Amino acid sequence: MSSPFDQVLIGSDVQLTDESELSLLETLDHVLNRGLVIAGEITIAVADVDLIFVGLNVLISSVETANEVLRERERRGIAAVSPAKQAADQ
Amino acid sequence: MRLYIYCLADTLIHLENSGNGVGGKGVESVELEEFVVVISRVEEEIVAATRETILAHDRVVRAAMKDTTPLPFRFGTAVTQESLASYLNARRKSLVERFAEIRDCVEMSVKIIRPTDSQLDPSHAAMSTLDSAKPGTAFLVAKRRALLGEESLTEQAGEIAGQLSARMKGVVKREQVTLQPTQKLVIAAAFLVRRSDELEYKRELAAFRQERPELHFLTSGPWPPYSFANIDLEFKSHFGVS
Repeated sequence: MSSPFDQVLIGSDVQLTDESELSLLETLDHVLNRGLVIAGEITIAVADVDLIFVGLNVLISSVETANEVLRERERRGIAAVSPAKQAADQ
Repeated sequence: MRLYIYCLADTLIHLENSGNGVGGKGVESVELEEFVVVISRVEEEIVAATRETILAHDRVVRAAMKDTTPLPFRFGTAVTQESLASYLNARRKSLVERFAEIRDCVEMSVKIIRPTDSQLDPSHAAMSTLDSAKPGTAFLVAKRRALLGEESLTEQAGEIAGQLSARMKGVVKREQVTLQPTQKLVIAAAFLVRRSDELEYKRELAAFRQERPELHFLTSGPWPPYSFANIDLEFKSHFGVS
């Protein structure tokens, strides 16, 4: 699996100066993958995966980020269900 | 009613276009728990991620950059005012420290892309040697070649990252370098640069590019310090959450 960059950067050598497809991808990379995240109480009580992060970012963010979350969940032996469902089951 | 959060500041922010938020919502800067939060008031818990909303998020954060250096929130953060107040109150110390670190700085991004002819991939040199081998041998040879190639690429990515860091050392305040974040990226680096050093940063980067003409670069910036904003790890370690 790959990030959005793999689809457009092959052989590119680009200095971004204005709006372009690449600058949109750079924006996606920054806005969706980085920045402050509010970890809610449910997240802290159930797992270290933010509910908002899982519900929103994984679905539309980079595959790399999604993989990181899934690998971490797998490492911790957490079943592939949402934190909300886990909380409800408890 | 929820607050969709764009960024956090430690000084007042004057927003000119108050109708340019996600979904065309108005943008406000409100004071909360000794901080200034740039928000839109939204009904929904999750704001749909579209080209427009994502660009709107970044546009608002960039507008705030004109007055100060804010801590940007990740796209999609919509919480109640109580949750936000609780968050700010619990993390005040970390946030203040982070503000001190990013003050008057911007983020510059460098991605180095693996050339398509893969000059960095030494396994290519051995490719033609065993074309006529038996299938089993060919499979094992291919496997070995892939493993050796991967190790070598990681080593070379580390070497490039080291050279880049050494070159930029004098002009950056902090750096985050990821080796081989994807198959085609050699490294992805984010540099925290003082606004006053931006020109010098660009000169040094241009010099590095000249030193390594075989590499392809994607450079962008200045950005709000998205990569240097998160305090989540400190919070988790502080409270022992795992």
